[in-house]
Amino acid sequence: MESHLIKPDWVRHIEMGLGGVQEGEKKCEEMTDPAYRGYAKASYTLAREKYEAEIKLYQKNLEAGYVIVDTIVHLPFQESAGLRLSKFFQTLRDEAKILALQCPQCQRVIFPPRPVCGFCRITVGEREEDWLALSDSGTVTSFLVPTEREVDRVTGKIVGQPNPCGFIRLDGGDEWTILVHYLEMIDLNNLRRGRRVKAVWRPKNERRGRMSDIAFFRMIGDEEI
Amino acid sequence: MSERIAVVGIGQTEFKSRWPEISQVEMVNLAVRKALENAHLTIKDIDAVFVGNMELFEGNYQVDMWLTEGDGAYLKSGMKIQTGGSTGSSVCTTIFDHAATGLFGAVLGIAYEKQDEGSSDYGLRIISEDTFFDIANGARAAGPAMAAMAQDMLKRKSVTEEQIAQLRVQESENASRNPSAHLRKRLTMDEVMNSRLLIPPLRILHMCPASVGACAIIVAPEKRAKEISPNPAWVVDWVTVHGGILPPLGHMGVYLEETELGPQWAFGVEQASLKLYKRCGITNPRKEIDVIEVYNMSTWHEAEWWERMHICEKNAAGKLIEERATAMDGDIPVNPSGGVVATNAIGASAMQRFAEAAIQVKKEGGDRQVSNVKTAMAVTAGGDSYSAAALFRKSLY
Repeated sequence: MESHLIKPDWVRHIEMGLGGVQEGEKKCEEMTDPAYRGYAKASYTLAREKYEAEIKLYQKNLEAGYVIVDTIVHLPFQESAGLRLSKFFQTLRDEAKILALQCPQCQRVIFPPRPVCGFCRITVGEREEDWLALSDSGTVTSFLVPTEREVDRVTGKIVGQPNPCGFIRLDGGDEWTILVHYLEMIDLNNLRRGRRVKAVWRPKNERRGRMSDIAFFRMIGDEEI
Repeated sequence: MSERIAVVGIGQTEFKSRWPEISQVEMVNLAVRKALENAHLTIKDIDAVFVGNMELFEGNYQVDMWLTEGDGAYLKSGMKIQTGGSTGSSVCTTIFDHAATGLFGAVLGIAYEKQDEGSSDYGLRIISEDTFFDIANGARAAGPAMAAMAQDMLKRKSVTEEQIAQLRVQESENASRNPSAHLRKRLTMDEVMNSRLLIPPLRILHMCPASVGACAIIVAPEKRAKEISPNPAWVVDWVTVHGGILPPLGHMGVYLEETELGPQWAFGVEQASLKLYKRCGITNPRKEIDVIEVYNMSTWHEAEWWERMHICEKNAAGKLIEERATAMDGDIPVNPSGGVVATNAIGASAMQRFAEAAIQVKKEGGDRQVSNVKTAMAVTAGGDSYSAAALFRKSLY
C-alpha cells in the first residue's frame, strides 16, 4: 500500500488480530496436556490462515476500487433474572444448592426454574412446596470438545475456556434436568457419555450468584449409560 | 375463506463463501430482480415485501429498514421475520398467509445471509445464548446435539458411517448439477470417510458450509397467478410449528432421545410433516409425493428425517441409502438441489428448500429436474425447533 494513505480499519484490525494470534501461539506452549495444546494451536493456525487470506482478498478488492468498512459493535446489556431465577441464583450463591421447580400437576421437574410448566401451561413456583433441590452430581449425556475455538477478530485471543463442555443430567430430577457446564480438563480418551460428574464450587467469598459459581464438573466414577 | 395461491416467480443469486465486492442491499437486489424476471413482473406489481435473515450475523438489525432500496419495499406492506435456521421458510409461510387473504395482488419474500461480513459465532451468542445458563458457549451446542443424534442412529443400527458417506456422495452429485449451489465438487467415499473428525461420528464433510447469497419468491392469489404465470406452482398447504414448548428450552442442544419427544429438531420436523399429511389427506407420503426438499444441516439429519417424515420405517434409513431410493432417479428423490450441506446462507437456506420444491413443480430445474413431478414437499427446521412444511402441486388442487 502507498505510504501516504491512512490504513483502512480492516487492515489495522487484522494486523491487531494477527499480533494477538502470535502471542497466543507462544502461550500455547505452556499448556501441559498435549491434546488441549493441539486444539489451541489448531484454533490459532486456522485464525491465522483466515486473516491472511482475508488481507489478500480485501487488498485485491481495495485495489479494484471497492471500499470495505470495518465495524465493531459493543453491546453492554443488563438483564433481569426474574423472580424464579433470582431465588435460584441466591440459593446457588449462599447455600451452594441447585434448585429446580416441580409441576404440581404433571410432576415434571422444570429446570432451569421457569414460571410456567411447558406441558400443563400452569403457573409454577409461587408456593414453597413447588421447589426442590437437585444434587450437584450427575451424568454426562453429551459433550462438546472445543477443538477449533473462536478467535476474537480484534484481540486475536481465543474466546472462552479451553474446557470441554458437558450436558449433565443432574441427580434428583428427571430426564429434563440437564445443565450445560464446563467439565474438568481430563484426558479426552476418558471423556464419554455416561461418565459420572460432581460440581466443583468456587469458595463462598468468590460466589456472585451466577452459573460460574460452579467452577466446573469433575469426573467421579466410570459408570456408562 | 382464503384464496388459493401459487408461486409465480423464484430468484436465486449465486452462492459462495465470500462476496466482498457487493453490499447486502445489492446482493438482495440481484435476487429480487431475478425473481421479477422469472415472473415477468416489475416491482410496481408487488404489493407487499417480507424479508428474513439471521440478525446480527452481519452485525445488522432491522434489516427490513436497511434493505428498502434493494428489495423494493418502499411504501409497501411487509415486515421482517426471524426464526433461526427456518427463517427463510417462515418468510414463505408468512407470504403464503398474506397472499391467501386476497388483499394483495403479488407478495414478495426475500431471505439472505452475507456471512463473510460478520461472525456467525458472535451473532449466535447474542441471539440464542441463554444469558443466565449458557456460560460454557452453549450456543455452539448444535454440535453435541447433532453428535448425540448421530451416535443414537448408529446405536440403533439405522445407518452405518459408510452409508452416511454414501449419502454425502449422492448429495454432492446432486449439488454438482445445481448452478446455484455453493459446494459443487463431486466427493468420493474416501474423501468423506477420511475428512476431519469433529465430535465423533460427525466429520467436517458431513456438515453444512457457511455461504453468502440471497433467494426471493413471489406468490400470488389464484386469479392473479393465472394471469402472471403459465406454469405456477400451486401451494396446496403450509404449516409452521413451534417446538419451543420443550421444558429445557434455552439449551438447543439438549439431547432428548431418552425422553418421549426425541431429538429436538427431529421432533419439530415430525410434527410439521404429520400435520401437513393429515391436512392434505396424505396416507402414504413415499407414494403420493414425487420429490422432497429437506433442511439437512448435516447428512445425518437427512437420513434421520426420512424416518421422522415417515418416508421409511424406523431404522430403515440405511436401507434407503443402499437402494439409492432418494437419488435423482430413485422412487422418492430428496434434495435434487444438493441441499443445505452444499449451500447454507443460513437465512436463505430454508427458503431455498421451498423454492427448489416449487422449481421442481414448475419444471424449471434444468440439470437438476426430476422427471414427472406432480407433487413436491419441503420441510425445514431452525434453532429451538421452529419447523415449517409446505406442499406444492403442478395442477390446481
